[in-house]
Amino acid sequence: MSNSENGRKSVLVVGGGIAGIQSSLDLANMGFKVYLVEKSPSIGGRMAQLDKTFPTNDCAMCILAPKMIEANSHPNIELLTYSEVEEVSGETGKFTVKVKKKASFVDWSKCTGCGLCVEGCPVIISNEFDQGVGKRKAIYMLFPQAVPKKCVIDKREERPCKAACIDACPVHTNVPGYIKLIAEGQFKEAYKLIRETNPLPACVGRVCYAPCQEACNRGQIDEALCIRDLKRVPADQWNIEELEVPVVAKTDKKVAIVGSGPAGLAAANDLALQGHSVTIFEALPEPGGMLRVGIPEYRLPKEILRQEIGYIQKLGVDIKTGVQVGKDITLEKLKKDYDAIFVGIGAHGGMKLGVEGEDIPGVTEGVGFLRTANLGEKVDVGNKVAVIGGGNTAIDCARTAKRLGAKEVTIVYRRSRAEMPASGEEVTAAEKEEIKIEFLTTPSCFSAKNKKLAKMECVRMKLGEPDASGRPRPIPVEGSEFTIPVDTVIAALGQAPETDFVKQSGVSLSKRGAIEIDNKTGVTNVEGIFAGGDVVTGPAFVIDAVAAGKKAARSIQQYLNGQPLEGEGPVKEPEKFSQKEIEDRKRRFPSRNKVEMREEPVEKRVQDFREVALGYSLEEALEESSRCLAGQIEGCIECHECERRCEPKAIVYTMQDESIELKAGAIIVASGLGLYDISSLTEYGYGKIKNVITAMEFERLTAASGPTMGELRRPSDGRIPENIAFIQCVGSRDFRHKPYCSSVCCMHATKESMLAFEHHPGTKSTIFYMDMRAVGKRFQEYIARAKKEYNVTYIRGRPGRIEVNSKNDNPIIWYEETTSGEIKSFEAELVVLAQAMVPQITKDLAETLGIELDENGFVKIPDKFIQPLDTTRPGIFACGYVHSPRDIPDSVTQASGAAGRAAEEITSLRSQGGN
Amino acid sequence: MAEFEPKIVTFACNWCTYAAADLAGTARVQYPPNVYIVRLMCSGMTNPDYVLRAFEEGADGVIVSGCHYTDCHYIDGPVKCDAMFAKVSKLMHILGLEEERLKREMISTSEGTVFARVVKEFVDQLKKLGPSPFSPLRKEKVAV
Amino acid sequence: MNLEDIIQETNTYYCLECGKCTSICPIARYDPAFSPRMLIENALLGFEDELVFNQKLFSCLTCYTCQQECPSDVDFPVFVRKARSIAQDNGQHGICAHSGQLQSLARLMTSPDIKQRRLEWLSQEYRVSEDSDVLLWVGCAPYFEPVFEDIEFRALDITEASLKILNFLGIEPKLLPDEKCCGHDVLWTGDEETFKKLAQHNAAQIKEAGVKKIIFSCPEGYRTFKLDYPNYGFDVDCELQHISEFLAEKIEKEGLKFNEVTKKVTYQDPCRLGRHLGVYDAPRKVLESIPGIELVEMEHSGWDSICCGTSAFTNCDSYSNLLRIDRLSEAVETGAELLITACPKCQTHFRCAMVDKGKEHRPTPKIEIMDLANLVTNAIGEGGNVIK
Repeated sequence: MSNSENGRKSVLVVGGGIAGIQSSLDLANMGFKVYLVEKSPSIGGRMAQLDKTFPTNDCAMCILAPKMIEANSHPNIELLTYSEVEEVSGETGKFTVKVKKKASFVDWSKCTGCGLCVEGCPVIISNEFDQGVGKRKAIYMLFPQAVPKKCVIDKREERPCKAACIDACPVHTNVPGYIKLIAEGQFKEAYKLIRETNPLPACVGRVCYAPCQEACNRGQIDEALCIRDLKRVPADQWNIEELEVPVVAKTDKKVAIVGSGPAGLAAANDLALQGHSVTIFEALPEPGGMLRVGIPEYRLPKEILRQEIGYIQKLGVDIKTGVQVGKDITLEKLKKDYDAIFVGIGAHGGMKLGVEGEDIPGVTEGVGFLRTANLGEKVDVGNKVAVIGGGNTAIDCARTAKRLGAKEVTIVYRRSRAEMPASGEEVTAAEKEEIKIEFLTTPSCFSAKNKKLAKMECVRMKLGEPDASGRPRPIPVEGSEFTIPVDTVIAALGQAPETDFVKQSGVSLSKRGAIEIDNKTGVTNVEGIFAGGDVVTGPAFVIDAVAAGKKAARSIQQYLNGQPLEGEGPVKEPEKFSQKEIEDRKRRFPSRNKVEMREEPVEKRVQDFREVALGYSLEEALEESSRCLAGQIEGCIECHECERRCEPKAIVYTMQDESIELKAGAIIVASGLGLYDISSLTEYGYGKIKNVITAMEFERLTAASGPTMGELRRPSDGRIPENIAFIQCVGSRDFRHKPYCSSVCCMHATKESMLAFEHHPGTKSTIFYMDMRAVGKRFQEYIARAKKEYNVTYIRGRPGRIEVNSKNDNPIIWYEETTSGEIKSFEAELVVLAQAMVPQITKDLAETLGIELDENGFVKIPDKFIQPLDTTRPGIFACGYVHSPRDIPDSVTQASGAAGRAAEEITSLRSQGGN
Repeated sequence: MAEFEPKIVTFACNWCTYAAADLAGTARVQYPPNVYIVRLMCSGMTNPDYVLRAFEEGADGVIVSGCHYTDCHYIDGPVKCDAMFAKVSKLMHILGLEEERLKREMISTSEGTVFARVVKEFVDQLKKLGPSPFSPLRKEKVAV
Repeated sequence: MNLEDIIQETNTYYCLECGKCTSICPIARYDPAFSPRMLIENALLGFEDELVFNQKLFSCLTCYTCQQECPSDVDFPVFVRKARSIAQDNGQHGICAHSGQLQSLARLMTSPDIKQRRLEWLSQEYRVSEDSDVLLWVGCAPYFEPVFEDIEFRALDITEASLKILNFLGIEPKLLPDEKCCGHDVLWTGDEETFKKLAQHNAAQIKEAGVKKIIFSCPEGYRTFKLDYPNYGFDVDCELQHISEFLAEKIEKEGLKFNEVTKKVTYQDPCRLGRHLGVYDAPRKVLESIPGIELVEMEHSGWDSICCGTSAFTNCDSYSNLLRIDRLSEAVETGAELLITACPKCQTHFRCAMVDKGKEHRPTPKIEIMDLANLVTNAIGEGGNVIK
C-alpha cells in the first residue's frame, strides 16, 4: 500500500507497547499504512517485562509475542524500532514527521539474531530491561523474543585510544577485551577470550616481548599498560585446569606436526578444534620446544607449560615424544600416512665461535647448555663463567649459570648496550643479579691449564659503519687485548635450524638452512607440507611462532577442504595519537603510573630456580587493568570481538544516526508507562536495604527468561523467601510524590503473591494496602482466590518504616493495623514495593508533538466526555498509560478506540478535502 | 480612693499552723481579714506551683507555714518544705518579686498569737510595698 | 477558631486513614491509648468532645515525624496545637509536668509590671556590649536552674558556653535584661493568649534593642521566633541563627579551626532544629571539624531521629520514660562516650531519665551527655587557630 502524496492514508504510532501494537494492527487491517516508531530496539514495551498478567495469570510473552510477530509481518506496518520522533510539522491530515533512526552499529539487513556476538563481548553492563537485577553486554538483544530479532550495540562514546595493541600483536589478540574482563573480575572469560587467538596465555604472559606494550597508546600520555603482565592474571586467579573441552565434530583427516614448540602447538590446537586428528612428533623427551628447553624455569615454570600443553592434549592432540623425524621416522613416511604436514622444528642448532681454543673442554654452546639444564640433567658450571653473546639466550645462560652455583658470571658482548638484542627487562634483571656485562668486547682465544679451561683472551671493540644487519660493525681496537680468567665459557651467538632431513622430500631451503615458505599462507614449495616459526625465520619470539602456526593451520584447513589457499587479509599498522589527541587525553584522564610487577628479592632468588616474577595480586590486577584507555568509557569499547565472531559480517562501527521523513494523516501517542524512582521515599529504604525490591524487579525474577531463569531468589543471599510482604501505594496516592492512583498495583501485587506461591508452594504473602482496587471483570474473585488458595493475607495499613534485621538481612516493617489500631512490626524475608507508575512522555517529546501534558505528566485531554482520546492538537490521539493509568485490557481497548479515531479523522478529512 | 488592701495566701499545715490559726480565732485574738488560708496536711507537701499560682491568682504576699522541725507528724516535712521554699524563692527572685512578699514560717498548734502577729505585720509590710507586680493578671481575669 | 476551620487549615480533610502516622509515631509506639489517626478520625467524624476532652490530645510530642511522611500532607502537629486551643477554652490543659511550674512561670511573666533579675549569673568572665548588633537570646535558662537542680542540669552552662564561643570569635553580644519566655510551650499547649502577650513584649524589646542578628542556643526559641512569631504578626526583622549554624558558617566561610578533642560521640537531632527547621548538617559539620572527634550515628538519626519524649512539659509519663530508655540504649549501642545534643530541653529530659535507676532487669542506660556548645568550648581557647 503506497503512501499518497499528502500521506493521508498513513498513521504514525509513537510507542511500540501493547497499545501501540494494537492500534497499528487495527489500522493496518483497515488498509492504512502504519509507521510504528519505538525508541528501544524491540517492540513489546512493559508487557514484555512481565511474567504473567492478571486476572488470568496467562504468560505475558505468550499473549504478546503473536501480536508482535503479526505487527512485524503485516504488509501495512513498517516497524521503526530504535528510533525517535524528532520533528512534527503540518496539521491534521497532513503531518510531516522527521524520525531519527539511531545507529545500532549492527546492519540489520545482515544480522540473523544468532547471539554469537553477545557471548564474546567483554563489556558487562546493568540491564535496564531486567530492572538492574541482571546484566547484559554492550552488544545485546533486548530480550530473547525481541521483534525485530536483532542485536544493537550500546556505544555511548568513541573509544579514547587507537587500540594499537591489537594491531601490533602478531596474532591480533583482543587486548582491550580481555583487559576489560579482568577489570570486571571475569577471569575465566578473560582466559577463554585470550585463547581465541593464543593457545598459551599463561606462558606467553610471562615471556612475550610484548609489541603491544610498545604500541600502547596510553604510553603516549603517561605509561603503557603492562599488557603482558596482565595476560597471566586470568591463569593466576582461576584454575585453568577447569577449562571445559568443547565437543567438536570429527573429520576423517589426519595431520602430522613435526616439533612441539609454540608453532606446532598453536597449529595443533587450531586443527584439533576443527575436528582433525592431529599427531605431534617431538624429538626431545619433553614437549614444548624452546618453551621447555630454551627458556629457564625462573622465567617460565614448567608446571604452567605442562598445564597449557595438557589442555591441547585434552583436545585430542597426540604428542609422541622421543621421536625424531628424519632419524626415527622419515618425512616421506609422514607424507604417506598423513593428509598434511606442518614442520615447526625451530632453530636448535648452536653456532660456532670460530675462535682458537674453542675445543677445550669447558667451552660449551648456549642452546645445548640451556637444554641440558632445563631437562634437569646435571651441569657443572665451575666458578668463573663467561657467556659470549648479547641476545636473550645469552642472558638466560648467564642467569642459569648463576643459579647453578657459579660465583662470577660475566657476559661478553661485542657491541654496546644500545645494540644488544636482549630485552631491556632481561638485561636489568641480570645486572640486579650481579652479572657483569663487558660491552664492546670479543674473545680472541681460549687457553687451558692442566687440560682445563683457564683463561679467555679478549680484545676491545669499537663501533664502525653499519653492517648487513643494520647495526654498527664492531672493529677490534689495536692493542686492547686483556685476559679474563674463566673455567666455563658458554657461547650464545645464535641458533640455526637443523633442516637436512627435509631435503629428501624436496622442500627448498635458504642459504642459512631455513625452510622457505609463501609468507601469506605458510605453505612450502611441496604441496601438503607447511612450515613456520624459527625454522623459517631464524630465532624470533614465541608469539611469532604462535602466529605462524595459526597461519599454517588456517591454510591446512583450506587445503584439507580442497579450497584454494588464501592468506590473511591486509594487515593494519598500529596507529599513534596525534599531538592534539595526546593533549586531549591528558586533559581527560588523570595521570596514573603503571603497577610494577613485584619480583622475588635478588639474594633469595639466585639460589634456586623459583619464578622471579611474583604475578599481580588481585588488587594490583584490578588497578592496572583499570588504566586501559579503551575501558575508561561506558558501553562498547570497540574491541572488535563481536565483529570477529559475526559470520554474516553485520557489525558496522561507523554507522551514523539516520534521519528520515514520513508523511502521516494522523498520529497516535501510545508511549506507555515509566517507573517512578522510589529511592526518594527514604522511609522504605529502597536502594539501601538489600531485600526491598520493586514490583517490576519481582516480575523479572519470576519470569522464565529472566536473569535468574525464573527462580525467585532474594538479593542478599539468593535464598528463596518463604515469607513475602507487599507494600502498596509506594509513591502513589501521596501528595509528596504522585497524588494519583496508579490503578494496577493492587492487582499486580495479588498476582505476584500468587506467583510466589506457585513457584514455591507454602510461601506466605502479606499485602499491606489502603484500599484494594479490584474494579475490573472478575478482579474481586481473583483476590478472593488469593486469600483462599494462595496463602495471601491482606492487612489494611500503610507501613511507615522499614528497618532491617542485621542478623539475616530480613526487612522489618512497622505498620498500624488500622482495623484494630494496634501498632505492630512484621519481619519478612523479602519486601516488594508497588512503585508508582508515571506516564512515559518527556516534556521534549510533548513539545515536539505539539501536545500539552497535564500537571502529572499525562497527555492532556481537553474534552474527557465527548472526545476522550483527542489530545490538545487536532489529528493527534492518545491511548494507553500515557493517557491515564490503566491496565492491559483497558489499554488495548483504548488503542482500538484511538485507531478508530485516527481512521475517522483521516477519512472524514479526505471526504471533505476531496482528494 | 480606697486604701490598698493586700491579699495574703497562707499555706498552713493541718497539724500545726492551721490549728494555730483556729486557736487565734477561738481565743478571739484579732488579726486582719486579708488572709486566705489553704490547709495542707503537711507543709512538706507544698508544691512550688501552689506559690506561683497564688501570685497568679492575685496574692500580694504568700506565707508558707508548718510545724517546727521536730514536731512534724510525717517526720521530715519541714525539711522538704525548706528545700521547696529555697527553690521557689529563687524563681520569684528572678521574676523580680520583692523577697519580702514570700515568707517561710514555723507556727505550732499553740502559737495562735504568733500566727495573728505574723499576719498583722505582713499586712502592714505589704501595705507599704503596694500590690504585687503580678496583680495586673488578676485584674484581667476579674474583668473577664 | 472552631474545629471545622482547623480541619480546613491543616489539610486534615485529605486524611486517608492509612495509619502511616501512627505506625511511626514515637509516643504511640509506647502508649497504646495514643493514636494520631484516631484523633484525626474523631475530628473528621465530628466527635468534638471525644477529641477535646481526651487527655491524650496533650500527649502528642509535635515532633513532626508523622507529617514528614503523611501522603496527604496533613499538618498533624498544627492540628493538635489548634485543637488544644479549643481544649484550653474548655478548661483542659493536659497534665502539666513539675506540677505546672513552668507554665505558671510563663503566665506570670506576662504581667507588664515585673522587673526581672535575669542576668545575675553573668560574671566578669564573659564580655557583653550594649552596642552590639548581635543579640544572644538567653531564654528560660535562668529559670531552669532552680527547677532542675535535682537532676544536676544547669541550663545556664549552655548559655555561658555560647557566650564564650562568641567572645572567642570576637563578638561581644547584647543580652536583654527584660527578655520574657519565647512562649513556645504555652503556644504548643494551646494557650494562645499567653503566647501573644509574650510575643508582643519580646518583639517590642528586640525592636528597641536595634539588633540585626539573634543567635539562639535553644532550638525551641529559634523555631518560635522564626516560624511562629511571623505567623502571629510579630516579625522581628532580624537574621536568626542557631549557634550550630553560626559555627558552621564560620567554618565554611572563614576557615575556623578547632583544637583536638579526642572523643567518640553520637548526636541527638532535636525535633525543633531538625524536622521543624531542616537543620541537620550544621551541627554535624561542627562536630566533624573538631579533630579527634569521631561521630557515630545512632540507628535512627537525621530526619529519622527519635524525639526526646516530652514536649512543652506536658503529659510527661511512664511512656515518655520508656521512650527515653530506648533512645538512650541506641546512644549507648553506638559505643560513643558522649551524647551530644543541641537543645537544652532534650538534655533535661535525658538527664531526668538517667537519674532514675530503672528496674533490675531493665536498668536505665547511662551515657555522659553534653550540649554542642559545651563541647566546642573544649576545642577553642588560647592556641585555637582562627583563620580570618
